[in-house]
Amino acid sequence: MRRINSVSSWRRWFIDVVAPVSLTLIVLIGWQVYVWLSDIRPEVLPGPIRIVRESVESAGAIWAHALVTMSEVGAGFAISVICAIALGMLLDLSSPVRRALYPLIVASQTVPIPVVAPLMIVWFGFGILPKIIVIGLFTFVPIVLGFAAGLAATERPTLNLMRTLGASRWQLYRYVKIPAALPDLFTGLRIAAIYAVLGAIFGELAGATDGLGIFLEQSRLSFRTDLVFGAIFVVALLSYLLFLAVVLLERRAIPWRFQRRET
Amino acid sequence: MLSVEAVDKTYGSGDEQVETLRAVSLTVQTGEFAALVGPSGCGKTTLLNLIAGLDEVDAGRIIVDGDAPPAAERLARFGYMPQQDMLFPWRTVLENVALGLEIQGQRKSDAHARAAELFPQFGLGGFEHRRPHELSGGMRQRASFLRTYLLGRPFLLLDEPFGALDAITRGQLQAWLAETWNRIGGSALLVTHDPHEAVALSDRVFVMSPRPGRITRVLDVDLPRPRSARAAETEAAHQLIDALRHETESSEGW
Repeated sequence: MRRINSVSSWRRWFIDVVAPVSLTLIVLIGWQVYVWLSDIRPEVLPGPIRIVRESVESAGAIWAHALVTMSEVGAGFAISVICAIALGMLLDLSSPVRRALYPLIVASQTVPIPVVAPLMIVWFGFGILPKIIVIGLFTFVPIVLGFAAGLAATERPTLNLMRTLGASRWQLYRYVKIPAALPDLFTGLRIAAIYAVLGAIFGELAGATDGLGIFLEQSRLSFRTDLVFGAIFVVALLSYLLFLAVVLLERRAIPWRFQRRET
Repeated sequence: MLSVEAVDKTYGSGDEQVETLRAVSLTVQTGEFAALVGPSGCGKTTLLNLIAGLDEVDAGRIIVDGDAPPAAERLARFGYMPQQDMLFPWRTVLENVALGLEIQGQRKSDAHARAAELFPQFGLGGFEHRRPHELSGGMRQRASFLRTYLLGRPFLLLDEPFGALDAITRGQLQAWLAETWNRIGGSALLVTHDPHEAVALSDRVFVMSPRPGRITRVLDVDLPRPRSARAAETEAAHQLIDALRHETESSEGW
């Protein structure tokens, strides 16, 4: 019994940690070896060692730009989540509103944002507002659709029970529909978290003085491909941290979902 | 007293019309436990939902203690227990059971205290702060019954409350309900497709035909009260169950 347990926990540890880490290492080593052997110019393809060395050297600048991007993501994601939750509620509350807004919400996701973002700068200036709007365009649709789908999933027998218990519309939402919709809301939030940092980058590229998007663009224009890669890594890391924060929040917000799986 | 008078109900429109109930009449006296038996799809649950006020009749009347309230008012007159237990996983068992009281506007602490008092009687003692998925199917059904009972409404509508359980648990819960009913009293209308369940629990059985549902037979169950858990094992009960089985089978066209 003990043996089986220790074997299975070792296996789990292997799958969770060793497998992804070693795959990443193999890719990095292969990359570095290719760069050494092929004698390719670093402006075209820098090796991982050079990327790390140069990025560490520019860590101060990267950090300063990252702070700007993070504050844009913080404000943009928070506002997007609040608007998306409110809109999700509205869609569920009113069927005419749902019919009117649904096509617009879906269409908003098809807007070619890199093309529209410069217009936002014309409309709203160089401040944080256009960045918040672009982050919103990137993130808000999966949250709205997830939450609205979760709210709509409450079935007739449950509604019947709540009616016989005398529940008002608000009580129906408070006691049943909203808690029942949380898992779907978090599915949308997780997808949105992945795109939030990317949204900030696109917002910055359209017009800004600071931020990782600006750092990326400046590095690219001065042929510092190593720093481009370094900044891309930071963007990925920030996105992953936001994703992780959402996952941790999910475990706190809907503990019953994880308890059930464990028993 | 509950009186259903010549109730019709048709769903859908045009070619899709389904006549679910045709001229259904039945009466349940105050203090009586009645059962409604029939094949699946015959409209038993439709009738129960109409009585509960979840839907309005097309024709006919539903009279409760002398007046004919519209559907919206009937909602508050009956205790309604659905087929699935519908305990919510985000609430503890106690919070689930007290939900009706909370909705009625009782303070949370009062609602919890009142519900907790009855937990031992309903065989749920010690499980107040567990989650529904930690309970057995039978316990979940008793918790669902307690949630309905706590509303304090004198007439209960039970929609195949044991239909989703395995045979052994179902038998145990029938016996438990028969005994519990001796203590709590009140009136009830139970929907079931199980003749044994109908006889074990009720004073009168209404037999319903396949769609469109009509009442084809009324059977009095003159077994003594208070009922014991084994009331349905006597010779008299067996005869009634056989008669009922014959009745429902012939109404199914066998």
